[in-house]
Amino acid sequence: MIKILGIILVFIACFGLSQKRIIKQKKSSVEIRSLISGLKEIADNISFFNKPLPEIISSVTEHNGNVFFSKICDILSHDEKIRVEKAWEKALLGDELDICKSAKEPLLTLGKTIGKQTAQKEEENIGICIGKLTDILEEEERLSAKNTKMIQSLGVLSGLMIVILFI
Amino acid sequence: MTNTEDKIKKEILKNMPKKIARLLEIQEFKDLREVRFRTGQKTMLYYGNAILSIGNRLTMQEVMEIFESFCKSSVYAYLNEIKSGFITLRGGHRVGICGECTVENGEITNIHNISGLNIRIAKEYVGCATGLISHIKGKNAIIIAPPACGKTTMLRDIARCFSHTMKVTVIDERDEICSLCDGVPQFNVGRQTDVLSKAPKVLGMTIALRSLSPDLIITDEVGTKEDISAIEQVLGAGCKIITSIHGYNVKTIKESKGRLLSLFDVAIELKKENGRPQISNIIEMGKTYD
Repeated sequence: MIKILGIILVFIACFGLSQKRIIKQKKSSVEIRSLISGLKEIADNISFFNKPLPEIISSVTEHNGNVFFSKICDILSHDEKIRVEKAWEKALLGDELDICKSAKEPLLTLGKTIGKQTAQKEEENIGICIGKLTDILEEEERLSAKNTKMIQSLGVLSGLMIVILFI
Repeated sequence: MTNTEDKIKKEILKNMPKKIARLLEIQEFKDLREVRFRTGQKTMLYYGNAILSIGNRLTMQEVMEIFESFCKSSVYAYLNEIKSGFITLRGGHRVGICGECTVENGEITNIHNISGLNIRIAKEYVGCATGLISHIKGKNAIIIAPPACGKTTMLRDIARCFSHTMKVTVIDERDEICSLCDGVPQFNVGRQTDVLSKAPKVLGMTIALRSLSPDLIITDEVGTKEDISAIEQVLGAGCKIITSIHGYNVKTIKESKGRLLSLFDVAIELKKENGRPQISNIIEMGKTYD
């Protein structure tokens, strides 16, 4: 009876781990998607309303709910003297954002120039960043579709292997 | 420290980089006229009768950081003001900008590589125009003075004085006279004063005539051909106007802008004494419409 319970537990643990890995991959895609939509909103606000960035980011946070934008908003509201560039970098390098390193790079580059150019240039820079993020998203989704079944099978197989080893 | 000085300090230091803010925080703000940041030089404070250098020599990066802090990290949002060479801060303080200008079709489209900034502290002297009111009541008047002699301060107090008895509209192109913040003027401009903030003078005057039915229009720093046409439109509509112009005295303005001067009944020359705007001369131009 205990053996059967042990086998079931090992199977559940391995399957759970593989599921966790799959969910993490999907979460990263969702985060990148919401980052893209937030960046589009920032670009629209710059071109149509010409509002200062702290105001734009605060309104984006209300609609978007992405942890990155809300983190910037938090930093800016706690320290009036901090520049958006610094707040952007801090939020990006924090642990809260669940995206891959390659997706952070275009955002870091954008953060270094954001708010320092004309509206037209800002839109161009945001457009470039969105383009790069879209490429990363497509690649991630392709990999995710390819790997999901493999990770699931690996989970089951590793569970089976542990069971066989202990029997 | 008085409340006014404390308020000015807060307005200026609000978004400034920490290092510079800490340096300025401990300085005396009483009688402070200007704060200048220049690349390669120390921060300089200009008081009524003294100049004080503080801190280390500023790098271009530091001057840029100060500039970006005034723009709330959003240069694009202030581009129209930057093109004019200055940004207006909350409280009406004007930040003059020096740097490399980008020129397209003969017009400045941007200023980059900022090399210097000059904060001109806006101050309110309630009552400074009291002695002037009897001379300009019911007349069109122009205030003539060199920069930093208190033209805007005087116009602000004139608005306050006249708004007790008539409807006044202030066309505040640079947001310096009233310094609107969340729709509320940061200076006392009176209870019957309507403010058209950041509106170009010519457009602002048209809007005011059409929709605000003012008895008196007040605007700052006129001088272009378009301004003259707009003033003629205001006078044609039976409204009075009080404005200002950069210049040394009536004689010099007459030589360069005779047509403009001919539109006014009274010219007032200003000088600055002990940091306050003082009337040095009131000249009747020889015609009144009363």
